Amino acid sequence: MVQDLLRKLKASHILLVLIPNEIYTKSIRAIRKQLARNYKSICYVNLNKIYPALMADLKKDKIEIGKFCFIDCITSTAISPPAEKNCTFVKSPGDLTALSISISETLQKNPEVLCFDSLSTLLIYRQGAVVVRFVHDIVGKVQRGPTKAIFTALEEDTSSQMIRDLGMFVDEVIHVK
Amino acid sequence: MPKKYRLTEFQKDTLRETAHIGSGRASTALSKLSGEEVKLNHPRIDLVSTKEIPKLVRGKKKLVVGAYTPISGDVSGTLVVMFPTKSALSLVDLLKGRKKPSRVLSDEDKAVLQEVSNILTGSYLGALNEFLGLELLHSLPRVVSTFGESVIDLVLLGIEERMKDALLIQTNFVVEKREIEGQIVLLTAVKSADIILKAIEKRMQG
Repeated sequence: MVQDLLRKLKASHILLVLIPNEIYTKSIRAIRKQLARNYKSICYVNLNKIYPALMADLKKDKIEIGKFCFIDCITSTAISPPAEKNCTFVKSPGDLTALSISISETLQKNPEVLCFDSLSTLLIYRQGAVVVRFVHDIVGKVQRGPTKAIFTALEEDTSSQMIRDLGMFVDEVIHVK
Repeated sequence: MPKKYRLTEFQKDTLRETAHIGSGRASTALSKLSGEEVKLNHPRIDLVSTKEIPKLVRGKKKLVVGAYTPISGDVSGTLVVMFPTKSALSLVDLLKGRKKPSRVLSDEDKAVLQEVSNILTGSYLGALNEFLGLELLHSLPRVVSTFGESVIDLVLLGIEERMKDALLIQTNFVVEKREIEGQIVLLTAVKSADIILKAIEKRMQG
């Protein structure tokens, strides 16, 4: 299923990927693996896993970390972030201004793919309408350049107004099974 | 403690009792704060290989809010108070007297959860300190929202990578009337477990 997703990404520009809770962790690891196999430069926006643990997962999955640059919004909320050249640490996942600036700066370097993990986490901190405006802004920036984008969310948020709204301005909404 | 760091049934029972005292004090604090009855499950005690910990601390497969505190002093480790997001929001609503359920955790709400978690952590460790005659110190918890399965990353921050075994104590609690549930997870290095057991032994002899 994740391979299908990559095929779809080749044909489209921006995907919204809805993943059931039960298989979220497994699926996101598979997505990272496939992205690393198929693309040379990936910007990974991380809202779910503290940086040392994310690195440990990538190593365990034998993923070439050098292909990635990271924007991390979770680590600073738990620990003092390590000094890392390929990672920008945003102080809080709710700081959408800082996050938007970091993403814009990274997009200027034209990575092949932007992977945003995940919109559901943003919904804890900001109202759906605010998240929609934020994603709309990012989508606009992505559309103006060569970078493709994947936004992930939990399937349980499918019925939320946010997902319905976002579905209108991405190229395709995919339900992972 | 035996060489292979196996706990005897007696040691397990005494640790369970000790954990019960800690979580009992924490639940009383939560009950006073919320004005609601808080029910506790029997603490689960495991002295395990650190590799097994991810299988044992299984956060729910949904987004959760966790308050993480490193423990220092006579014992080193981590204490995490964890709530499913819906429970975290309900708890803040209850404490702030809101009638309309919140859907978003504002910075102010996060500060409330941090304070509640600080009280729970302080009560839990304070009870252990009194009972064991030890000094377990903690700092202000840091509130993190993450996918349940990733809570283990926070728990494991308290032990060094090279350590092979650790003592894991988990207690679930619930405020039934409000459908609020949570979990307190305490993880210490095996060396710290040894210190705790010696303190229990000393107390029983004294």
